[in-house]
Amino acid sequence: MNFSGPLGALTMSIISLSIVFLVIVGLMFIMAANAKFAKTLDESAEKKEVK
Amino acid sequence: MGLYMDALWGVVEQSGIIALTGGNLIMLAVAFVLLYLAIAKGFEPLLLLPIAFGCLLVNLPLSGIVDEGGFLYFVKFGIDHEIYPIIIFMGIGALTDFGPLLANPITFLLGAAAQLGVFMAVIGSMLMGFTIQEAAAIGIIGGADGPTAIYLCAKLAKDILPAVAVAAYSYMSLVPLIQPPIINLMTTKEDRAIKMEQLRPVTRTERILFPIISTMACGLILPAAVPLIGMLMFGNLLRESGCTDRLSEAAQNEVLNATTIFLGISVGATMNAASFLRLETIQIIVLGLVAFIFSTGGGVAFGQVMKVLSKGKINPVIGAAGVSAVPMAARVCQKVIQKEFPGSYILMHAMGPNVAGVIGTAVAAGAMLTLLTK
Repeated sequence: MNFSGPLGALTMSIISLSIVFLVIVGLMFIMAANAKFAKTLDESAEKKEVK
Repeated sequence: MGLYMDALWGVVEQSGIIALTGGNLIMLAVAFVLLYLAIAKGFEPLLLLPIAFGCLLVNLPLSGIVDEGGFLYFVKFGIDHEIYPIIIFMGIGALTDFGPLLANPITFLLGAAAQLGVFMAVIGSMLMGFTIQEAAAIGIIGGADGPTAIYLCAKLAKDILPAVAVAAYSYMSLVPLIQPPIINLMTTKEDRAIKMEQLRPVTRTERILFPIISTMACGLILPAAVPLIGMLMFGNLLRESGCTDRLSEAAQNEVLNATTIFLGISVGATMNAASFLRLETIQIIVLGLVAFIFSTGGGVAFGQVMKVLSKGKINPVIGAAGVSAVPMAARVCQKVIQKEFPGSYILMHAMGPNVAGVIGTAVAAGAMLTLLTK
């Protein structure tokens, strides 16, 4: 991709910053899912211990 | 006697004193200034001292230390092929506690917002006549992440690596000077008084799953970020797994310290007069400062947005910690708050965006690499 001149830099910057936000929002959802998944794993491990 | 004098004169003719140029002398002075800043003023000495000494070595003429076959020629291999910054990221991952971020994932957004300065500097660099690759390498200084700056610069614009490295590490050490005025300007006393809720405890399972899952997610979405994010998370997994304590200790200490030495001295070895004594160096230093200021401002501004959206639960000051100078930026937030409200404690809340900033800068570098290389 060719980004030339200040307008090209602006375009590249907007695209990159969007990518950063999208990836980080994605990671936020992953972290929320991670917390729930970890809680499930911990609860099932506790149940096994009780048995 | 004649033979003796001839031999002696031969040694004098081949000495560095005869071969010293004005450029060498200026760069030796630059080396002395950096040594002073590192030793006497404590400005990021772990990096600035090796950089300064590398600069000193390479500007002693006729040594051949950086020429083909010389010692630094081989040591520089790690910089030329982007190996050292990645190993350092592994060490940083082993040192990092992602707990505060996992406890409050919304603060991840502050790590993204604090990348604003990167892209302001990219635009500013293009206006100053740099190429887009150079502009990206200059802009990443705003992320306040030395290894990422060196990694991206080595990939996109090797010629300006010395100036970018010196600027990045100098501004990282100036975080306690640069950030407080911006924070105070962009927040009110009421904002700074906001007390945030205690963070929830984070389980070991979460801490183990996070590096694995986030590596896969980032790597699949943005493959160019895999070297940085992957090694950051690898180091973190060594720390959190609980079964590789020896490796974690080695990553945090011996490996990190050894790589820091070689990285610093290699960067210094690129600081010859021809590459450093240019107008571009001053422009890069100014643009780096612009990037830094806008990154801090971007983080605090987004912190204000989050304060409004959370109905006053989030203290906007922690937005400044989205700049990835870990843990200095978080400590600066704590100090700014404590100055007015001595009983307030915000450090752990600020650590969330602080470590998010490391990921944010790496993602920004990956995004620019993806867009600017085939």
